[in-house]
Amino acid sequence: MIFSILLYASNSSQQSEQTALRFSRSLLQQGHSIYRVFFYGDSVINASGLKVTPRDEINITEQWLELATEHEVDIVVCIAAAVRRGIIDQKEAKRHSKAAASLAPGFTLSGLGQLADAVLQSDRLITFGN
Amino acid sequence: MADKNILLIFRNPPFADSSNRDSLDIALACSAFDIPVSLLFLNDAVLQLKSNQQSELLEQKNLLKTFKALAMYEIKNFYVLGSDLQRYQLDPKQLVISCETLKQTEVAILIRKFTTVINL
Repeated sequence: MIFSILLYASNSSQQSEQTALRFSRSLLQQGHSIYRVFFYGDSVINASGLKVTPRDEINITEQWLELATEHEVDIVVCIAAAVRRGIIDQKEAKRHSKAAASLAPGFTLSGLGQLADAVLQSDRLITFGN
Repeated sequence: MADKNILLIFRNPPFADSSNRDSLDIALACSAFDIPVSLLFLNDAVLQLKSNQQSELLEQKNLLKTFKALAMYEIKNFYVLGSDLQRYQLDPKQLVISCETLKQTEVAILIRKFTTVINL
């Protein structure tokens, strides 16, 4: 089955982000595919390249990127949600005259149309909210 | 791919967080992709639809105009729970959009009609 994942956790310390990652791994292990992972709301903080994770804790940003690279999963960050939270790429930094970009390499900023497209292309959309 | 339709479930009161605005944005995006969209308001979310909200006092954006404009995006199916209206002593006429009032048992039946359900 083709799945897509919608992330909306309001806090990077919440369990739902890790649950989403584990759920995604399980899907792939069981032979399903993931069309897209869409970061929305406060979950866009996951895509920050400026976070420093303590060494004895899981770096969830790296783990998403690993999963994406290994299984060719498209990971998209909602541009409207990201920009208002300071997650911006080079292009947005230039457009809004900001000193630096913060989006981790490997993530893509795009619009909600990518979520609508994921709804159309997937058999199931699973939301990990609050 | 089989025909898709989507139900967005609103659960939070207005101005508490951004989930109602975020759900509304998903509704508009899906509608632009020709996916039929329906909205269900549960619990405190019925308050989101109450007319005459003076959001300027909170220095917040008012979503009522957007709700009223949904018909232009072919979003016309709205559902509320009769027990939620009762709890807040609301008359359906006090809501900015015309909603179908459901009984508790009808919610499960409604949800089963959709290929995709988003509940932020």
